[in-house]
Amino acid sequence: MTVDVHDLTKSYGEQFSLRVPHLHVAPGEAVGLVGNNGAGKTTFLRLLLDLLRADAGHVLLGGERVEKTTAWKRHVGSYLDESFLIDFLRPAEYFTFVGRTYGLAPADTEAALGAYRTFLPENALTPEAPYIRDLSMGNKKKVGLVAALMVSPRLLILDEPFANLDPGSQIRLKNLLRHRRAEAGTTLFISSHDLGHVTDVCERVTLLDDGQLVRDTPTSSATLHELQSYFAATG
Amino acid sequence: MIYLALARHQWIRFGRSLEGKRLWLIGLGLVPVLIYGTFVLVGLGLFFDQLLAPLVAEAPPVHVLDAHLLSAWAGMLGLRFFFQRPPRLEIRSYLHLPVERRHLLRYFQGASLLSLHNLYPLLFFVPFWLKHVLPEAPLHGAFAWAAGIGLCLVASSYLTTWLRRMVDRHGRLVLLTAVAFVLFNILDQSVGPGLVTAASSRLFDALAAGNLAVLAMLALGAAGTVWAAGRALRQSLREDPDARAAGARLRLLPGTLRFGNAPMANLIVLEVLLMWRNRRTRQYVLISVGVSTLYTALLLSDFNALAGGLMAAVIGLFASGVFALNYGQLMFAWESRYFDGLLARDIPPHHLVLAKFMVLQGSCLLLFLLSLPLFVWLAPELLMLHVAFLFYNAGVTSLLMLTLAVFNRRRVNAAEGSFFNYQGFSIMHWLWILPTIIPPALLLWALEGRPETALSLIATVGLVSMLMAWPSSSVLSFVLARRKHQMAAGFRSHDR
Repeated sequence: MTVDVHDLTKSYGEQFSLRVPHLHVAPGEAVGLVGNNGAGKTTFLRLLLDLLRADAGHVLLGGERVEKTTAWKRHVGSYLDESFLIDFLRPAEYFTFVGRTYGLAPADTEAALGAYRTFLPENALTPEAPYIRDLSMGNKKKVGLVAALMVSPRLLILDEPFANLDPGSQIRLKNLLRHRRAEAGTTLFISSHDLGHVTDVCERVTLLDDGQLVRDTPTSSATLHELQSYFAATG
Repeated sequence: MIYLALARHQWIRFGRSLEGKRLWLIGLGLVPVLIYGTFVLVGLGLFFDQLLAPLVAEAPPVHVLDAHLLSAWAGMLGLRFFFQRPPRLEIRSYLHLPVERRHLLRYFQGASLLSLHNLYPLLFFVPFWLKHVLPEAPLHGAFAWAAGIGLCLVASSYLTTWLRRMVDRHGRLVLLTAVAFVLFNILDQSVGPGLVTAASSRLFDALAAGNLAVLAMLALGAAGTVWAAGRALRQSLREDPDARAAGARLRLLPGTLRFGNAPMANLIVLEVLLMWRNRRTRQYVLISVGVSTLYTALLLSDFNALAGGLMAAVIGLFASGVFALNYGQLMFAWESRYFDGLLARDIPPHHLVLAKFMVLQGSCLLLFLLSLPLFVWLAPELLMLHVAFLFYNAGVTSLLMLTLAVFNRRRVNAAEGSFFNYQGFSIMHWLWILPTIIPPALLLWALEGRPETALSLIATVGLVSMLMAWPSSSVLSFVLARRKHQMAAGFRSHDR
């Protein structure tokens, strides 16, 4: 699924302004989005998902303008933060609810969850599981990520997917993302502060600095070092 | 010294917290209400005999009150269970400090006695004691009675903590016991020999007579609750909150309430779960049930047919529409914590609106059925009013509340308690009651001589609005789609 951004701007008063003149992501591509705190990464992801109204410009997902239609939502899996979780549900209830919004019957959801059982916290799918709000930060994140992954998305948009996960889960998540992309050609758009993971998973890295897209290059063996040097300098 | 330090820290924390600031502001705004409430309770205590005279002629006020104190105590325990903040929440943030737990427990258990639930009963009991108990009972009996009341308050305060622990561990058993107790009490009062009333009379009359053995027994009971609450608190503090949440949980909603294949039904199930699994929304449900039954009973018991248009409208509106009025006005805002998640999924706005409409209409029907026996029993001449307002509430009130709801943009945390919590409300919410209540009240007033005509018109308007549910919800869903970004931004608060 393609991602196209044209002349996108979003301002919050005088203090902050996001400007992305042009961005194209081809189907099956894995793009990482990096930047310091307040650079505009989450704002950008929210604009991609039509959770914010742009001041100007537009976003097309799979060729559809996100603010004009909703059909694209069926093909996009996303997890930005805890505001995506219905925290008074048990994980299994949440998956069934989310699955249904993607047209999956409860049995289909259960089947779709099969690949992610080992990634989820133990007993998360049992009727006795705690409510999502009672889970630890890491386990909440796992539930949110699985809900985004299990619906067989053609585009996956994730904000800080590795944060709060234990090392083992981070590695499992990287494998799941790579597998998803290799098997189904899913386009990945991932924002993260973890430069190592981003360069590991994504073949292209874009860098936001104070709302401006200052770098958009393919990942190479030198990318990690270059990014580290950049952030060390901008500190 | 440690207690003083804790008190100072708690005071600073309260003063600087959003909750504290809000409470100050609301407290200032509600000064007239507080004064009114104080006057009512003090007046009840002082003039209890005069209020009693028309109901029970020549009965000693102390004896009459004594007969109902046990039931009142049990009712208060239930109220506390839902509304009183447990001390466990306060203690947790101090556990990492080098302060002995027993000091923390003592302090927070002691501080919990300053709860409003312990203070407002005194507004009634102190004047009642001065006016009725002290002059009539022997001096040591009057003081024993006062001490007994104090011990009962202390016991109910501590018993709440213990009960919470029991609900955590044996939820089903506690629920069954509570239901059995309530049923027993109702049967005992209505068709039974009045055992609870008799026991209550014996207990408190004995105190008023100066029976110190009974007082000692009460003191022992109160000490037992202090010990049990302390033990329960100590145990709960040593548990992992996640493990406790995963353990036995009070599950009142059966497993049949599940998400299935029908998208609309799923949204309705989600709304019901939202109501029941969050503290503030659950309290709205319970308050609505209370208003629909107890408050309606109170109004009906002293209501002269369709004498007043406004009062009739209030009764009709509240009996079946109180939940739609209370809960409906904050719809969508209840979902502020996961509104982004809803927007990111393929959920048609029309489904969202229609599902909420159906929930509100369903609540009107349920409350109608719940309060129906009261109308049959206390004021059968108002049955037509009840039926007419069922249609009005299901058709008009629900729609008006949903219309208000699509303009919500203040974040609400549904998991917080509702006591003195006005999160999500704006001046618009307070004013919105006017277009809801004034038209039917005016109609009832204008057609005072022909109430049947007025009620028929009210019912017809409601019915037409119900039949127009599909197009009107389409309009609201259009508004929702236009306003979703503003709502989401507001619900995210200052989060960019």
